[in-house]
Amino acid sequence: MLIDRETCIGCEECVEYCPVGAIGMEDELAQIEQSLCAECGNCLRSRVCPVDAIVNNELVWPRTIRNIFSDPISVFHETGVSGRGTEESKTNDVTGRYRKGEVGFCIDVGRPNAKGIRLREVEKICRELSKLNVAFDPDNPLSYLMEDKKVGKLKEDVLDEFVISAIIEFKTPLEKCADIVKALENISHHIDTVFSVGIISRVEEDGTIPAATVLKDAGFQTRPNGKTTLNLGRAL
Amino acid sequence: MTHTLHRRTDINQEGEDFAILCMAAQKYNDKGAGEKLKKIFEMVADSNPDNLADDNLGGRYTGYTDEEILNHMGDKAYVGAAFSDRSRLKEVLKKIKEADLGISVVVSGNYKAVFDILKEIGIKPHTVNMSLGVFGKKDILPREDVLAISTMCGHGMVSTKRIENVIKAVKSGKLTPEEGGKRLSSTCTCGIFNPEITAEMLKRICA
Repeated sequence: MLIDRETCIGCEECVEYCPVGAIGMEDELAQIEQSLCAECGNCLRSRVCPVDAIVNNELVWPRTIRNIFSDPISVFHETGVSGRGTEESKTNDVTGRYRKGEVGFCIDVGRPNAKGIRLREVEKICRELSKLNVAFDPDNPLSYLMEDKKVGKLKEDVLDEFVISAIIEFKTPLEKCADIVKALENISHHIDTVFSVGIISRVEEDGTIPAATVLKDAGFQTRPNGKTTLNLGRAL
Repeated sequence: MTHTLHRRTDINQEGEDFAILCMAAQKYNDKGAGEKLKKIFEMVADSNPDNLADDNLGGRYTGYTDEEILNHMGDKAYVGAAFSDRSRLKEVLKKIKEADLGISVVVSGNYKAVFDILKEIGIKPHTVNMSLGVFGKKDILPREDVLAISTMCGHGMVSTKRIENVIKAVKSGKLTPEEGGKRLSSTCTCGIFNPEITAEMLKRICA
């Protein structure tokens, strides 16, 4: 995103819209700090500028990554899914991506509200997780940026790209999920940002949730609220 | 909607805060899904939601009419909506079940409340995505009352600065909590930011 400073009237209306604080004032006109702009498009989409001075500049690699990971409307063309992750459990009633006996992990790096992250931080977590033989979800945009999936290494030229957040996705056998959470606790002491952890589990016929039970036994409490995929979808 | 599971206050966790998302599974049942999703959108619209959108465009609070959203909807549409009471949620889920369109539906909210509703209308829960909370350098996060509101938008499109400005405006009487809730909804494209619940949070913060 850019501000056309010849058009800008310096009203400052756009400044508060930036989720990462990249818009500031310089010489009484708005300016977007390019190293901090995550290309989420929030300023433009909000139509806040009274003189249309916010401009969507054409992005080139690797800056294009910022838009894919940060703009909720942007679609990752390789999978046809919008947003920074996959459909994860949202369509599991149709896809069967997560089966009984398996647990899915959605690790939202930079969320909530870390005001942006460099992909270098995401790589740190991926590298540590890879030591537990985690198989990263091949449909997640991050997997397309990996040079070596076995060790969680991202391509060198994307490491400094700045995004609002990125989601690390993988699944494990049920019996391994508590060990993964313990490892995440350890990793959390060595990173410069935050991450939120989502745990995906099938629901048994009697309404019980195996992953919640296993995690509780290991001392981890899941919150009382979350997402439930209903058994309503079907493949064509 | 990935982040709705991480909503954090007692209102979100124990109260009547529900969001729904309806979508096709890409490569499984997306062909021709647009018309089915439009039917679902109309059912949701008739159930008086607190917010409603197609995430690929935006919603009622981002400046689009229902007609504009419907005209834009295609096979990749995501129908997102917010509800602040279970009776309206139950009503719309019942309608979607009866329509039997084969589209995936996700409900976010307190599990016990959601499972109870599903039992009442004869729908089985298939899969859950549960939160273990936040890990890492938590001291970089904004103060708790601001975070409570910002996490209502999973994509992080409601900025800290804007929330702080709305809190100031409500405290000074320039905005009512209801106006503040609607104002903050204007950058959530997927329709899950709930202006009614945000107004309730603003009332608490500004009391």
